[in-house]
Amino acid sequence: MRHTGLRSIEHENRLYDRLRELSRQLKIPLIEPFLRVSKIDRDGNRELVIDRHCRSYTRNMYNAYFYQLNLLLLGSTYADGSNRCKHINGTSLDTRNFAYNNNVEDGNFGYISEAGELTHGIVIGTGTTAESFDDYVIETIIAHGVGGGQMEYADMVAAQNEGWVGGGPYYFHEMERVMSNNSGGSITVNESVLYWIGLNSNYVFCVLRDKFGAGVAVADGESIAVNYELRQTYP
Amino acid sequence: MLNDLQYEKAVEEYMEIAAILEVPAARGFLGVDVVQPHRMPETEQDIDNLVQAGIFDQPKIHYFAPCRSWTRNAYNLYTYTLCGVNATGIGTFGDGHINTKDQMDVIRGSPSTCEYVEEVYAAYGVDYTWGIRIGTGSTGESFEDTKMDARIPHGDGAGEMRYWADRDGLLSWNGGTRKWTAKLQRYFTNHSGGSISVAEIALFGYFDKGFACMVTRDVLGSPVAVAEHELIRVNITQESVAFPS
Repeated sequence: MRHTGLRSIEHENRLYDRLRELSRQLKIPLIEPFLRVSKIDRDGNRELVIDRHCRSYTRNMYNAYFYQLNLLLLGSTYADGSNRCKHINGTSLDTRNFAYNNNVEDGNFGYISEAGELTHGIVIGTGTTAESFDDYVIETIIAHGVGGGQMEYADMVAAQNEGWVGGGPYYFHEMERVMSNNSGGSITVNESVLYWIGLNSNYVFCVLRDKFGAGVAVADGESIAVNYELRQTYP
Repeated sequence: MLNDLQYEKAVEEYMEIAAILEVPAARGFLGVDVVQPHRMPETEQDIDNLVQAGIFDQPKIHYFAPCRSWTRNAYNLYTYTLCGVNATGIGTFGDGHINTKDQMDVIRGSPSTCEYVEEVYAAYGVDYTWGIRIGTGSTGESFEDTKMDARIPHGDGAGEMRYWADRDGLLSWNGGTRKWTAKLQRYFTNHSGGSISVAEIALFGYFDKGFACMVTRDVLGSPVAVAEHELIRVNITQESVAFPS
């Protein structure tokens, strides 16, 4: 069970307020993750059903964060004492594969994917197992399509938003994906992930996996929008 | 401005909160040791032999303080690599712009590293364009720093010191605290004929194998005097937040 030290959302928000303040004062990079989930009815009306900080950074993200400071490697597994990352197929890989050095927003790399592409970006599932620090893949993926149990994944390139907020100050990257249910039946979405595809485009790393507190039932003809925001605090 | 003790206390609080919220974080320490060997090293092996013989067990000068000096270059590296934000161009380096500025004051594009330590933070041989570097400048640190105040050049002339290759970094895991520790290290020797006062220490990354960008710069609380024929060791130690279990 993760986040046993948190008593309430208010407690969590107070801690983030303090962390932000200290981050700016001490000059320690802080990347806050946010999750927002909306249901979209047949008329396009949105209902925000989840709006909170993510509580689900994986070992991949922790390893990538620390690795960037020193680029040192140790071990061969995705476990304590080794700082490798884990590809969604279960292979432990050199953390340098996480990085990239070109366009990360064009739909081919980074967190942004094109329509129907499930190898990176935002992906949803029906799995109900609680989040674990060692998660590296979605539990039960909802496939792309219009068949039974499938949903149509939209393009993420045009749906992203980023920018500088001087009043923070922080730089944010908001990534959204709409999944439409044209399967003929209702589908309950219980989990979402954010996948990163890096230096070697064969490797994909899950940095966030969120199990929803209550499943979001998406009826035939309706859609679900999952929005992840990564926000870097600046001094 | 916080003194070292206040800074340490605040960092402890930061790390505790980050551990509760389960967000990645890291802190840094700076260590400087000065010794006077009986015979000056002429090779990397000579330095290794001196270290193995315990010359640093009782240094003439020992300085230890928190690192508190991540620069905009380092932050932008994170925004690019971990938040997935493209570089915003090379027109402006400052708020709202994701890029890097190298030591020649040239604004560069993507702040990527994506290579091994020996290609980014650890310079080969006597190369002093990246890796750990030292200087005599004492101007206070700024988030906007992109170069040293007054770097000490490599050489044996007046005001110069020999730069030895950055050592292989050391990464270790503590299962009890659930924290990673990474140590970057470099040695310098003074053959200049006079004493040199080291007042600032910086870490340069050789980003994208093309340009050296400063990611940290620390001004020492009290400068460290390195006399002729003395050996100085600089450690930059990074410690992660406790990993979730």
